[in-house]
Amino acid sequence: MTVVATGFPALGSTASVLVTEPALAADAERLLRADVAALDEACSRFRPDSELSRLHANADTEVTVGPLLADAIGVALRAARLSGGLVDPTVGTAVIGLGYDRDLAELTDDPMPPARPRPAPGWQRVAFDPVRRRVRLPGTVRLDLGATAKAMAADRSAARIATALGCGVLVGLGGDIGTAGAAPEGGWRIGVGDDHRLAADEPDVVVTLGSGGLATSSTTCRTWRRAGRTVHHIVDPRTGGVAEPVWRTVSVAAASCVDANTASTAAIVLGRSAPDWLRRAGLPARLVGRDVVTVGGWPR
Amino acid sequence: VQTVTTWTAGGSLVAAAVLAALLAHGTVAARQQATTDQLGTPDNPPAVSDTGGADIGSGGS
Repeated sequence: MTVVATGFPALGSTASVLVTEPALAADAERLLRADVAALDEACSRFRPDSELSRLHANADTEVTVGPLLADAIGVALRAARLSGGLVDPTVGTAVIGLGYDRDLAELTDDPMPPARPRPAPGWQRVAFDPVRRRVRLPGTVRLDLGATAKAMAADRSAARIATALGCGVLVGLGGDIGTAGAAPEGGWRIGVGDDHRLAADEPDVVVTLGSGGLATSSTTCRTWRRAGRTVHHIVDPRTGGVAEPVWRTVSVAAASCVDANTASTAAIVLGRSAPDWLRRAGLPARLVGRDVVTVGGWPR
Repeated sequence: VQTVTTWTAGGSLVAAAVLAALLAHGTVAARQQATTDQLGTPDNPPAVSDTGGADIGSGGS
């Protein structure tokens, strides 16, 4: 079974789709492009015309949102609940305070220090009715769905493309990987490293995955400079500042990409107690700090 | 008195039925919560590739 990959820049990162039927690669890319465009229109916090921006503009008002944004909010709130608030979509104001207020490619060195960190308002303050798709955000809450929306899209696009084309599909959005359909013999071969752009050709390790999802969170990418210091995008909701530098990169395999991403992000935030947390969750993971630690059946 | 007794008996039956329905719903809801309210583990953990090359990379973005 031959695996064919195509990709394109998207969401400030890279979108890739792998299929087990070479003749279907172009169709798969067309479907993925449509899904990525829809995600950007619904969930981007940088686009003034996105549905999320319109939601922010209507703070303190109950708003009906579209199905995709509703699902992304539901997934983000579930991730917050299951991570005990370690992955919290209400970090939007904190992320902006750190200087991440526009597309990453547009960020420049800023001599001004970041705003004083303040804890995130908390995901419990988002009033959300998933059945009626009604959302009410307090005026102090700005959502950053980046941690989970991309992962949700990877899962969904893989499933949609596999159903539409009838072959095995892997979708990678940045470091977030979702799979659907029958994997190639021996599994999907995934290079794992600090930077997803280099991990395929210069991996720290190559693993195979038969199903489910795999996500990597890292403090070494998506960085910028403030007041002479390098700042990254993974915020600890408990403080509103960047996560403590215990692990620079965490990779997790789970039943879905969303769950893998939730766990990898939570592990970066959690720091020293992350290996025990991942063990208790039964999730295979690789944590890279001063040393490399593997748990939950991740191959050594 | 008979009317009150009848009403009370009828009310009890209705209350019992409502309570049973609520309990049944609660049991189903709790079961559903137990299956979805945790991060899902993979069917199989990743394995080391013995072929060396990778089809795609997973890392920070």
